[in-house]
Amino acid sequence: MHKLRDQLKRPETLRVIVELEVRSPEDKDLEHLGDLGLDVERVVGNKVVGSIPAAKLEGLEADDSVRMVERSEKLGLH
Amino acid sequence: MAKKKRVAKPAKKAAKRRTTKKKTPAKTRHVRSRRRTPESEAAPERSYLGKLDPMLRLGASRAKVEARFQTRAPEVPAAAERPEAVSGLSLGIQSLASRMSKVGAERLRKEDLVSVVVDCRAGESVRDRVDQWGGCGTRVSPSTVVARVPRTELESLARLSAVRYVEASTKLKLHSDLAHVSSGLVRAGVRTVAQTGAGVLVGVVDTGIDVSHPAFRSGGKTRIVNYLDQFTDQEFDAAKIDAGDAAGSTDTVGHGTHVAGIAAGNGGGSPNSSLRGVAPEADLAVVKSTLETADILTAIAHIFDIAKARNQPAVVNCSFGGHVGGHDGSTIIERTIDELSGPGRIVVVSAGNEGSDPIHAHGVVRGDGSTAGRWEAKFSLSPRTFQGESGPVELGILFLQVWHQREDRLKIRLRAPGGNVLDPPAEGSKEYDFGSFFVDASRQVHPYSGDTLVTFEVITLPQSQWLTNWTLVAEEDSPGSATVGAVHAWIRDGAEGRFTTGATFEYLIGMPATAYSAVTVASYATRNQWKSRDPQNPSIHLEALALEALSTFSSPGPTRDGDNKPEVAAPGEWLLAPLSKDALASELPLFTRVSGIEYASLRGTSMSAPYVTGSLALLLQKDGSLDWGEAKRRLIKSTRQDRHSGVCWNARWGYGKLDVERLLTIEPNA
Repeated sequence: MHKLRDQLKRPETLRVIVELEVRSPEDKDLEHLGDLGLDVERVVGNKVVGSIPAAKLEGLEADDSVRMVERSEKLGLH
Repeated sequence: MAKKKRVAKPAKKAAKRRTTKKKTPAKTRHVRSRRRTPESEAAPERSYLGKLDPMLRLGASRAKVEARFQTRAPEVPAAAERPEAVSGLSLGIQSLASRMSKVGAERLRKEDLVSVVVDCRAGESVRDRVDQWGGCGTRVSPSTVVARVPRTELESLARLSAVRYVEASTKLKLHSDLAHVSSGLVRAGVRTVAQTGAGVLVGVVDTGIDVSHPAFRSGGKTRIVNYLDQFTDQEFDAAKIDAGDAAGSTDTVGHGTHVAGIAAGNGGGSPNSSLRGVAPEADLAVVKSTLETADILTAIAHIFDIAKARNQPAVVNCSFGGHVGGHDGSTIIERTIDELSGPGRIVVVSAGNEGSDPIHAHGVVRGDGSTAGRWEAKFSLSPRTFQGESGPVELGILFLQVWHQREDRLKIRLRAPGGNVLDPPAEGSKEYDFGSFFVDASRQVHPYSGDTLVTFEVITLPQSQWLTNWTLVAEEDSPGSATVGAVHAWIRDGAEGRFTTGATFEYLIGMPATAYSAVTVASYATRNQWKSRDPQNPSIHLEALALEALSTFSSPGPTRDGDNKPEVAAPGEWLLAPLSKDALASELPLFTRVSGIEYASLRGTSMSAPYVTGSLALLLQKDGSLDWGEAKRRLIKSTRQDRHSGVCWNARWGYGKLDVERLLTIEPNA
């Protein structure tokens, strides 16, 4: 396997920001995200902040209700 | 006999000296002769005076004159004509005293002691001599003595061979920070605008805040109306903060406290509250953030929710950033900022401190139609220690994002040090493992902009042959397949590696500063000296730093899609603002901590952004319904240019220097 990469600790759960196709998500939309494995933390407009098992990320990205998924990046102080 | 001998011997010696003098070579005689002339007094005088701070020379000279010619004392203006606190002192000391606190000046008048900082070779002996003269000294380092010296002994002090330099201890200047003068907020010690930020909410997303700092308290109560700690998920309102409930949510970095103080500190804890922030009467809402984009997004929304509940206009400061994304405002967090901004809702972001970092490469890949255009940039990785599955492991890890426009069909690939060529798939990702290095290459069309993003995650062994000589190659799919041909590549962080060829020191404003609606702020210098708590460097003086010049670290624009960012430059290099009592020494070293008060001197676009945040709070006090578009228009219209900024807009200064006075007086339709 990938010896170098496997030396590093890889997170099992990823924090993500999800942009939905719908402008104003309803409860059923959020429930659907839950079914896809996303643990919803906060909804801001049609953006959803949450965490998801790394293994389920591809399924989330491929879902028709999802326009875009970004991993939560740690930013640096200026 | 004995008496005769005692008389005779000196006579003989004197005769011998005279004889010797006659035999002395002419050159030596000449030197000795010069020492007897009036000019000869000047040489050693210059020598010791050169060791005295010019501020002290007047005092020393005056003391000497007064000691010799007591009758000339009336040269000093009559007491009635002099400032009361310093009457009875020589002119030099009056001048010195005018730079001291009232208490210090009073003591000076009574005891005629001068506060000095002495740079010397033997601190112990210098301190002892000062004590012998009736002064008092403290050796703060092997080469530094802080002392109060009788005025009449300043000359003696400077004459000591162990003394290299005697500097007047001026402490802080008792007027507003230099930044306020540069920005037009203060002239002749008086604020030029009536607005103080009252009724406006200043939001700070940062490392937290020292809620006990007097700069954030007024009338015995906190000015912080809401404090959210994203690490513990605790939220405190003003009542809870005053009850001490937020004491555990400390600012151990010190960054957030400083930033909040620049924007909205009221000067508490500084002499005569002289170190006020820009909007000293604004309310504060602070989020101690993890600085993950997911939490930042939540934090900004939270602050605007607080503002809505309080029916207040709000401006939120973001003094952080990163280099993941299209650098065109298309990341989710940037577009969320756009959506959250509106009438009475403005977000200010620092441009970044990567102005000198070779982390961006740019080229145009466009052939002549018969041959495919091609462009290359080389880069190297920096070895670092990571936490591995079985303990610390040293590796090179670099995250590279390459963007090109949707109009173009390009091949983007990597050439490894050994010559292997690594192609991303047409869509999705592909892994390459060569034992000594691993590469994850992926390609996607960005859902928002439609541009193509190729990402490489490179992991290598820490030996130099695997860390260096990597090449990014971009070429047309076929001759003429590029319409625009612009290729931009960013290394995520300068700590991961650097471009060794192809680097361009532009397009270095990261996200979320490239958000379309955000006000993006560059930095220039307004201070190069202060008194620090560092015993090794009690008087910081950065002589090479030109005041009013752009900070070399300030990240230049424009954005990848050509948006004119930064919009404005503000004071950001060495600003004095509140120091968190919990700031770790590893975060804010002694030299940054101002002597005698709980303030720190820091620099960065992190400091220039809150300066603009505070300024916009003043503007929102005047008109709470202003949206970001009109606020930007007025900012741009009111900027000033000088010989440092040159013609604006330009990629480093934006539209020029912030001018608060003009910003607050400019007509809406100007």
